[in-house]
Amino acid sequence: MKILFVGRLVDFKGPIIFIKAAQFLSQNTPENPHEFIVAGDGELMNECKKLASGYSNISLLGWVDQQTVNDLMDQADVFCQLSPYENIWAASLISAMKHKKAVICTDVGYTRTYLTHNYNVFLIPPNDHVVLAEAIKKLANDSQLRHILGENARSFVRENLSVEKITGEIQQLLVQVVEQFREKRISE
Amino acid sequence: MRIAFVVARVGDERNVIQRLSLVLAAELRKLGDTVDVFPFTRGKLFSFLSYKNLRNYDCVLVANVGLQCAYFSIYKRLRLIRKPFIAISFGSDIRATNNRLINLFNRISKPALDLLIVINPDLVAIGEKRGYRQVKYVHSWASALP
Repeated sequence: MKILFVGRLVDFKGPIIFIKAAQFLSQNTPENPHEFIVAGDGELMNECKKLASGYSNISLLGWVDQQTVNDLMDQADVFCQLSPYENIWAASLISAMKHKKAVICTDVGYTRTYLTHNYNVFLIPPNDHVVLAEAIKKLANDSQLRHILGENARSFVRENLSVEKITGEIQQLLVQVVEQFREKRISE
Repeated sequence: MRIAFVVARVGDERNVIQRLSLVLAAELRKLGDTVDVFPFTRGKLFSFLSYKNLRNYDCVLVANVGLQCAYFSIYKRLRLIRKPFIAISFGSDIRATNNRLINLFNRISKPALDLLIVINPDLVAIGEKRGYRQVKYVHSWASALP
């Protein structure tokens, strides 16, 4: 199983929890270790390196280009989005959903407003690497759930996050502002 | 509609904001708008007449309430540009309330902005708390990134 984290290595994205969960699972199931991949760079890189040292199944790739991110997404079985504050709408989360990945996501901010536990994401509380490890274990043992989450995630992106629909909304907002501005100038 | 779209760090592959901005510009063109992207660099700070180009458009759209937004907002506040200003916030530009530079850019830009569009729902409250007149949320179009 390949478990993927993509994002800046900063507190806001929660990379430390990911590596701690990787450590936890590697120590508890050494006979069949998952592969944990971290793609991203940031101020927590040194701390991440320290935590990952000695674990050959944890890879820290640093910053990678979009093509590499797409390749990693294709290969991954589970994607983790772990902000302790807000996940909606991280580009990496949308990318993982678009790639039909089973996403483990922290239940913070507006996450639950838009995404549904056990339907299009697997929600967990923030800042808890043991719960994250359990969620990874559950998804690792349930290929059907992974498949369902991935399919529903992709449908959500298609139905709600299409660029055509959003651009139309932005265009309408721009037209409104331009008209308001003109009216205001005429009345002045 | 003719839109001047000010975008910083154009061509910097690491920068998601400029990539999303260029995607948006292309999509608006598909809907029939004329969108000219004005790449902003720090060197532009000393091109004191660069604001004149923005006068030929119906509105000025700015990606992120950063230095680029503050810079052109000054021209609007001086009434050298009399066009509606709309900024799109991607989060990092308004979220950190203890960052002096971010606070400065927001203070300068705020009176000039007619609309702040945000692509994260939590930013509506943050934008309103910062005192923006109109804040509207739209979903992120990051699914269109190649």
